[in-house]
Amino acid sequence: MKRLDHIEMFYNFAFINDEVKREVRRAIFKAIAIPGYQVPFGSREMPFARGWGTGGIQITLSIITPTDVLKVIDQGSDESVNAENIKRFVARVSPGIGITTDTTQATIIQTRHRIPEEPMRSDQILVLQVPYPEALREVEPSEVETRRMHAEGDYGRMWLYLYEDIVRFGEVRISYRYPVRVNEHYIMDPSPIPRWDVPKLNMAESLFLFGAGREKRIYAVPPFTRVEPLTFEDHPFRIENFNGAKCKLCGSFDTYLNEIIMTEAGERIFLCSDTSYCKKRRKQLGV
Amino acid sequence: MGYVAVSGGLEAIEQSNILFNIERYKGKSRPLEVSQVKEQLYLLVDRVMGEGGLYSPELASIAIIQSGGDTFEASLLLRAHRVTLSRLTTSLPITTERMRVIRRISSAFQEIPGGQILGPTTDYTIRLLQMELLISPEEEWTKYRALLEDANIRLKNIPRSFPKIVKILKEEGLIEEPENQASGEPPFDITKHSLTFPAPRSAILQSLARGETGGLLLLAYSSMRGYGNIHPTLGELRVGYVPLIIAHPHNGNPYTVGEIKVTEAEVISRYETAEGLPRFSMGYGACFGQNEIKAISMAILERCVRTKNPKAPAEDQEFVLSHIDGIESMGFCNHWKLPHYVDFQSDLDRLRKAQNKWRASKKPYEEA
Amino acid sequence: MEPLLRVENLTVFFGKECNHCLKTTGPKMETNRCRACGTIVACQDVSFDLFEGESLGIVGESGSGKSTLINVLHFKTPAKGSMFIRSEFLPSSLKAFLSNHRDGYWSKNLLSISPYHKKRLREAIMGIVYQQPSLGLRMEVSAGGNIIERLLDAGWRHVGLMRTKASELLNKTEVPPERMDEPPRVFSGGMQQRVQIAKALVHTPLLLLLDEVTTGLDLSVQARVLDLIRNLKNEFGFSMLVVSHDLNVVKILCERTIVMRYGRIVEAGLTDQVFADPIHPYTQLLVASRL
Repeated sequence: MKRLDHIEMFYNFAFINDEVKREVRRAIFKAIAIPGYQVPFGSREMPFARGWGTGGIQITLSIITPTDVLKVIDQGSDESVNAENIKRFVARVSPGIGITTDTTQATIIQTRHRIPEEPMRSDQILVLQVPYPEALREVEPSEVETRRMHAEGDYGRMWLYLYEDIVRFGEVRISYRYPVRVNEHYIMDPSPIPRWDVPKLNMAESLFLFGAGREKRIYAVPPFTRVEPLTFEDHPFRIENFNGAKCKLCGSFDTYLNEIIMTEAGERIFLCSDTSYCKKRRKQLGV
Repeated sequence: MGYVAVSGGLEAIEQSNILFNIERYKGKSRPLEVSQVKEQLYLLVDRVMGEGGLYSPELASIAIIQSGGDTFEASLLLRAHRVTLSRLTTSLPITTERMRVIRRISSAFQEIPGGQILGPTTDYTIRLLQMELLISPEEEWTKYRALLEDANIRLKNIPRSFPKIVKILKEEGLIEEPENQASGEPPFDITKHSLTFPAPRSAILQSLARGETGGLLLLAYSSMRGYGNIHPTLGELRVGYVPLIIAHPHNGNPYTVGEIKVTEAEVISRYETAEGLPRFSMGYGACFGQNEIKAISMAILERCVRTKNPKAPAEDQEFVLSHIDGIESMGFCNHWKLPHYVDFQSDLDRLRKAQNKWRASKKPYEEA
Repeated sequence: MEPLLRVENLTVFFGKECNHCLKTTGPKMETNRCRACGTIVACQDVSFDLFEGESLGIVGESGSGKSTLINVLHFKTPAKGSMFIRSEFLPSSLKAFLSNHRDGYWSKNLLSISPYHKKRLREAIMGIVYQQPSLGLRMEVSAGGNIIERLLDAGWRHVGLMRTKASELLNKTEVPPERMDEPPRVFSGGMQQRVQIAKALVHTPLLLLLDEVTTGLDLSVQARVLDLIRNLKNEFGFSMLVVSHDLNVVKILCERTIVMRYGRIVEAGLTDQVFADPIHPYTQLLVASRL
């Protein structure tokens, strides 16, 4: 698409105009001030379809400056089509910014469904794309009602939902998007990250910003904030178990792995979901 | 077994863009011109302008061509473009009494002051495919066009303005006056603020006017069929051009800067058990261009969502307004095509654990 | 005995309310609908004290305002007037917010505290049992889960302990504990009521609200449920507010009775006295028409 080359001539730095940026930043500040609270904002259309990360993109575009270094991942991968698409767009409309695949080099990381394996620092921001900002939606479809439930701390039904799962299936069925309690107050949807990544939110050094474009909500987990998965004393929270499987490429067994079916007979291998971390490890190990 | 990780997302994207364009242009026909779409597929253009929330037949035509005729995609292109434009001013309120009418009907009365004007519509055609389109040569088309121009003479005698049926009934006290914005108060703007419920009427009207035609029709149809029937009668449907008037930024005087085509529908609904004098209630619909299905559906839904004790889906304001936006729903539907393998891996983990527990046939809640 | 709860001048309008509402309604006018504006005057100037461990009956036909009254007490319907609880009964976590600092004896007016505090207070001191089990129970969730929901609200987080507590309560209310993982939807009407009662008793409430709890049950089942309630009251010692159109229910359960008609109290006194020697003509009619 050659036409995109001229985009700088027509649009503001980072695409959206300053008025909208200010509005999004105000929402971000409010979100940081009230950890886990969903701040409504006037989400604008982006040149992407709703549901393809427009919330995350609006946050990224509102906070990015020409000295920032951006990394974009989808399912942990820097090279998936959606990640490439977003990266390409942000780079085009924000002249001067750096692009990287290395987690340690980035100042802003936009992600869908994963938190990088390498721990993040206080000078880094993770922007998560969110399809369902409302953790209580599973038990209550109405927005009016869920807002009331948050306001009153009326979370009995959410807990009951978990309890019923334990009674019926022996454990909670929620696999990803595992609800968490932030700062001992709001119940929050951590976006569809696997349970593997949930502990990374707790008392982290970095700032986490969550953007839901279609649902028009922004929320945040500030650095050093307590984030606890909803769990029972006698049924502890459990992350995914790969039964000792190792990454076929880098050999790691302490990372989140993707299972790949190789043959029709069902033979499978496992690979790191965080592709840039996997690459780095291979380089270090010389494989 | 060797394994090479799949990479090269960027290359793949570019290739798929090229393939889409090859698909569009691989036939022998000449590329569509913007003016052709604008003039000959004007109903499609009108629909896209409405759902895209931007009145520009030209840009809408580009969007239609660019998207290969996908109304969802075309509306998204328009909306995304709209975000980059500055809002110069807010136009002044107008009354549709001053509409330059091209079509106007009422099903409430046989005869109405000013008369029923059928205008341009396919409503009364016999639905047989025009097979001659397959063979018709250029000269046939020229002849047909001359014929049409002759016939058009008679259409030029339409009066400049028509009385509004609903207004006449309102003056007689037969129809309620729905709660309106206090004059001078700016309407709610859903493009700038996130909706909360119950929404003000201006927000309801704006959401519905930008809604997806098929979505509006589906919900309105559910009401018509009996899920919360409001027993509508089409008071008046009019299509035509209304002036676009803005206040001069310095002296505040009103200036007409152009006109836009709109469709307006007013449905009259049965009266409710009332405290006080029983009156018909009404629903209002208006949208860009000529899109009668949308205007009527909107009018029905506008009335439905103001029902005091909602029971049916179409009466539930939050339900209706949260689900009728085409850009939002298409985006979310499309996003399921994005990879979800990280999440599915997590699903697999949960399922296997549950299966193991089941196989061990313990009482489920007795955690090991 | 000292009062637990004081209710003063409780007034509830459903509708837009005008100057004529109070004048055109009430037992004398034989209607609760305002002739001028159509507003329903569901309760007017209802006042009473409820004593510790006491059981107070409220009788009247439908439209008398008795169900509205119970909904106001349960903070589900807003009302004018006031409602106080004795400060010493406030749960310790709410004392700082709800005590009345000028008058140490009574709390603040509970009708005007925040929805958040209403919810907290309701969870801490009240239990309710409805005529329709579907109002008090989640029919698709297990019976045990229904009871446990209230423990979860109170911060319990141990599945094993909660299940023990729930099965104890089910045992007490004569529901076989081995059925605790089945949804109430599959239970008989009497058993559903017993699960509701178990749920209402989780926090050993100070006040149990009973809204027509036996209406619609078979006579033999009615007797067993009433028996159960009486035994539980002896065991737990809570106060009760019993709303019923059935005078027998009130006679079995309550020491004192209030008779309501068209939103007003027409007679109040000891149950035996009200039934043996009714003063108001309406009460006389009620008693005379009793089977």
